[in-house]
Amino acid sequence: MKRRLLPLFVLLLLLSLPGWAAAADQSVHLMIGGQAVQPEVPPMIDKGRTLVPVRVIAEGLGASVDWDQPTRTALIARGQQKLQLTVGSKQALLNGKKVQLDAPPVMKNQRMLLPLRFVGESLGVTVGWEESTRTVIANETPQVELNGQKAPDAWKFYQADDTYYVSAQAVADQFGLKNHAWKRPERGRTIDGQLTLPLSQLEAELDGTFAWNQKKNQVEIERLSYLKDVVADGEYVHIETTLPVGAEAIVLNGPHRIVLDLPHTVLDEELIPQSYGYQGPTDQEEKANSDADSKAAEDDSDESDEPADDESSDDEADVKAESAKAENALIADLRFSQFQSSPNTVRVVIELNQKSKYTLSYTEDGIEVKLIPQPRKTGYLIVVDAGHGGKDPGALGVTGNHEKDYTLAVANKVVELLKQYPEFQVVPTRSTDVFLELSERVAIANDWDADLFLSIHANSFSNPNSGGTESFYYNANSKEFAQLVHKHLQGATQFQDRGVKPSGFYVIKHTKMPAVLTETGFLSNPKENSKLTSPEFQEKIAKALVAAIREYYQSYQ
Amino acid sequence: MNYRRRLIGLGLFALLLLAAGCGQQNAAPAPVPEPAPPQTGAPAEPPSNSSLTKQTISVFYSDNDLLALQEEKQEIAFADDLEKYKKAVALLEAPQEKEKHFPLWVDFKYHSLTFEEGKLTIDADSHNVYNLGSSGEVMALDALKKTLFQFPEVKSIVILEDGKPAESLMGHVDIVEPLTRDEVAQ
Repeated sequence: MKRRLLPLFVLLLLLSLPGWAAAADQSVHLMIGGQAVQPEVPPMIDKGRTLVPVRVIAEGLGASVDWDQPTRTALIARGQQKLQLTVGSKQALLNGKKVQLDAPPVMKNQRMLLPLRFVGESLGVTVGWEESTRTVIANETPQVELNGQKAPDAWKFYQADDTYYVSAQAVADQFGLKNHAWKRPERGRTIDGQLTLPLSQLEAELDGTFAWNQKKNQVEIERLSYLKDVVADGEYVHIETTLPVGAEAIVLNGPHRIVLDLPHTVLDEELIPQSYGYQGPTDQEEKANSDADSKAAEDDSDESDEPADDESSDDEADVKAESAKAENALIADLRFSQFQSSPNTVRVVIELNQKSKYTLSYTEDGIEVKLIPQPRKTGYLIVVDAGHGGKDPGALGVTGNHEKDYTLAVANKVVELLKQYPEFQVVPTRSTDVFLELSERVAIANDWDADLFLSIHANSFSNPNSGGTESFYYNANSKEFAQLVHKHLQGATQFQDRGVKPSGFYVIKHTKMPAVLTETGFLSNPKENSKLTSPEFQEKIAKALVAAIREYYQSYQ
Repeated sequence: MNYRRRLIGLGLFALLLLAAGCGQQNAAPAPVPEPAPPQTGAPAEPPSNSSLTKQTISVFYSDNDLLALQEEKQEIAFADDLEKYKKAVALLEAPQEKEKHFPLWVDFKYHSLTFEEGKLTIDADSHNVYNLGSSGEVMALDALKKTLFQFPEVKSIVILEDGKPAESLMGHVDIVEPLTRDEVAQ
């Protein structure tokens, strides 16, 4: 590496010698087709665009250039591409169509200077800028084959040091390797602001083969990973592949499924008969597949009449699914298939009996999926919300007591009482003195798909004579529940009846199930506050709220 | 040493030049046509900074039982619109009829109140203790809206806490979206 840098350094020194029009640190170098080029008129930079003499374009890029003196227009042709540029004009003609230039061609020392990147890219030449050496790199755009298919157009290959450099992340992305950590980034060049690595280094880091067929000027990349197995192991699924690949994951519901697509991956021959939808040579999708595939299909031709969605057609897969069920009810089924053949993509589906989150970790041997099962709803689910908490004390009582303590005391009692009924499942939004955003309270209820939501609050006002019990609902599905809660609650407090009112408080507006917010009484009213702070009274309130929930459950379910 | 002295000299020279430049600017002000004082006896306009606009505005409070908003007319004097809004907000905690009207904003502190293109932004202090329940919070926000939306140029009100968007001031009503005129209960 160091030795390679030395000639570059010498070149830099040479280029910076006097005689060059621009100062050393302003000079621009050219590398065309992997070779350093020193034109008689040095390239210049105008508004961030590199301008080079016509001859560089003609000889370096292998284009023919005709000069029309009267119109001061250059006609450049390369293959099928024809480009017409006029000195001082920002408008050019590309194959007869008008296109805009950032930097117009200029005359300097009686030579026409043309914008290199624009001309190069118009003629199908790859152009890049290496800031660290102030070098414009231009080369023919090679043909690129990736696993026997055309590679994405966005990949750019820059020729230098007798090899091609290509954007490392673009290649890694292609194999699903997001945020890939490169072992030897110093072996690359930063071109157009991106780390590019030489083919040999990509091969060393990613495996497979990254080769340049010089005769055909074709870059051939072979990096196909084989799916060897998919194994359930407790709350893990191991996806074994011959080369590291990343996966695009999507989550589907009904039933819960985690779907992973593995790019540039094919099924190992032994796995083909076990794959989902496999039914022999009659299948449309299978026709596109390899010889090995159809051979395997012929071997099992007695199964070709089975419907595509019948997985019991394969004994081994069946056994695997059964054992997965027996070991851990979390995973209902594992399947895989050659989902796409262009590019080759393997799809792995993890079907779950229970909604789960997951994490993916990538190893040398493939992908490890860790399942994080989410708690399951087992009964009539009630979310009990103690208002305020933590940094939000809520209203202040006349004896310096805080609303958040009242709401928590009552909510905890409600939760304990509800737990005595086996038909109920109870989830508190908080059971300690912690702060929760309103949106978090709503998310708990909605994520659990709760059947009821009850938010417990206490009131306050600057007039100490104000008092009473009031209950709020917002959505139409909540009115009956609100009336029941209020009936029981006001019956227990015997405070002034302030009624049941509709109001768009956040927690009752955004919850999907019947939801009620209740204000038991006024902490600012000395009489009411002394009752609200008494544990016996709180127990009475809790019992009243539970009675309301029980009555609602029995009447409306 | 010599070199340094020369530098100092140069610096001084530069300063002199600068000073001269400034002096010149001061010495040659743009010629302002000074009209002859009108002889007609018409009263000269008083200097603008001592003239305060007076306006009678509506301010809203709760009744004595937290059931409905009550309107009070109060007069404010202000130099500019920003002061007008600030005085209106300040009056939200100062009803004149203290027996009948109860303020919904008490000891309300804010870092700043700004107005830009119809949007009035109040950056509230997160340490405020509002001491209101759910119905009180709704009424407090309604009182704020009705008081500030009487000024036709105010199209929306944004409430922040310590410069940041907040989910709720008092733990019941969300204030993530700007408060607008369409939500005001008439």
